[in-house]
Amino acid sequence: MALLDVANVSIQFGGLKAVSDFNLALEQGELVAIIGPNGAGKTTAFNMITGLYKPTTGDIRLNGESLVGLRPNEFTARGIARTFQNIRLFNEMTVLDNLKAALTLQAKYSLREALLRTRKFLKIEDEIEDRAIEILKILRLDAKIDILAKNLPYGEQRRLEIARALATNPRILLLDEPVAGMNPNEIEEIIRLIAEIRESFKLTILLIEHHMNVVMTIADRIKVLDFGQTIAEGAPDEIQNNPKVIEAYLGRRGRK
Amino acid sequence: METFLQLLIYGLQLGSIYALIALGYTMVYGIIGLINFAHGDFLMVGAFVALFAVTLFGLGFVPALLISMIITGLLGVSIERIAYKPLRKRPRLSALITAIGVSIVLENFPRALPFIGPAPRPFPQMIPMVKFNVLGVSTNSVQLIMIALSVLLMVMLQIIVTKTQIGRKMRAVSLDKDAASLMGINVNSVISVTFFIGASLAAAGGIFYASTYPMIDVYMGIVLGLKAFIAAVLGGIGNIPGAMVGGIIMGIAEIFATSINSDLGYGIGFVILIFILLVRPAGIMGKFTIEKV
Repeated sequence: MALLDVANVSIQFGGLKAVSDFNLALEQGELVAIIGPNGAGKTTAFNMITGLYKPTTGDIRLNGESLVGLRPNEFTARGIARTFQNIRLFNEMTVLDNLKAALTLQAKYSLREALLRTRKFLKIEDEIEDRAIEILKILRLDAKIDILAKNLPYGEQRRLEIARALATNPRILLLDEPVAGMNPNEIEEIIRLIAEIRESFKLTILLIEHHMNVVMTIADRIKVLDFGQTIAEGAPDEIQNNPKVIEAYLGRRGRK
Repeated sequence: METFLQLLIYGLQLGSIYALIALGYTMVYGIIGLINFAHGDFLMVGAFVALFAVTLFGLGFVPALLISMIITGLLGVSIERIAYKPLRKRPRLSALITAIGVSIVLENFPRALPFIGPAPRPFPQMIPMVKFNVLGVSTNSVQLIMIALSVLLMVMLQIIVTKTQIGRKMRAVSLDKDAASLMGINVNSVISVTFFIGASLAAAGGIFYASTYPMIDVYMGIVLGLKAFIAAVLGGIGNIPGAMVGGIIMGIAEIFATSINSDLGYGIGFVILIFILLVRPAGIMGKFTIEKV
């Protein structure tokens, strides 16, 4: 059985069918990329897989359990985490607090315990701090813990988004254009980091990316969307030579 | 000089009450973008709960205060669940009008109850009154304890917001609800906690006010709530330290203006509000954000 099974999922906004009959079976440990032109429905698919949108039809199963109708935080609690295409950090909070806020599963104490500063409260707060710093170290942000998220340079904001998603302790990580707007050096670093966290956190990764070099380097499998439909799926070298994919990206060659 | 100090201590006391109430306005605004017009009525509920806790159950000041804060806090949570939550994704005006409706209910339902009614009630003296004279300034135990307790509550709130997990979640939710939710934060429960804290601080404010001006009635929250709201706007609505500073400024300004002329005292808050809106519309500590086009 697949870890994540997205079956015949469609969503409609008014008259517009943004995604239709989306199918995806993610196996444990896989790295799958979704590509496609702008407006193809990639982010909409992400929004459904993370619970932000409820699909009009279809089912999303994680380890056999249907998630449709749950709230986004319940998706997260079951092990699905994500980053955003247009970075959405908690801008007015420090790097460390961004991480801590996402460590929700670890932080189980009541308001009363916090007010009385019980031993349990102090212990959990220590654990949260240690865990947050541990993750920030992996993403090489541990020197910046007291900086407000909004004041980080762009590339570091992208890394902080990944760190924050990791703090939720995911099994599946969804990355929405993780290298958008980065320079070649930064891209290389992100590719290394993704490989590193995939290994150390035993992650299954689903990513949206426009940058073909990145996709071809790291993806085990690629899925191509256009106008909400899946037009191709397969290993990177198959996709590269698929005429339908070339057409979606470059347009049909005019007949003479 | 002595008069100045004398007025200052009265101003501080009134100001700390305004600050406690202003905190609820500012926290709720910060987290769901709603001006909760029913907030002023929470302080009235708090004062009445304390009144009954003392007169019917013979409780002392501290238990009465705690029970009143808890009950009023739970009332705040229920009102959010019943009246505001269903409107969360609707235009803001709907929730605002609902808040006015809730306020009318909170004032007039107790008014219709036989054991509360419209007539003002004397509020019991719960702390023994001991008068002091320090440097020619006369003060008393009630005044000092009220100021100390207000400061204590504000420090506790500041610790909750900045140093605990629930505080981090509150800040995260106020910054970006969807992102917070996707990081595993239960937005509904965070909003409930915010209402609980806001309403219970208002209850404390109501009790402190009633301990100083010991006559309470069902409409006591209107003017007091309005002034606390001005304090929240003055400090920068949505900003917690701003509400504290705004409250203190309002209290001191009102007492000083009253010493010149009692009508002036009543109006000074509105003068300050107009002035602030003209000069610094985002408030003293608020950030002026430019809408992106």
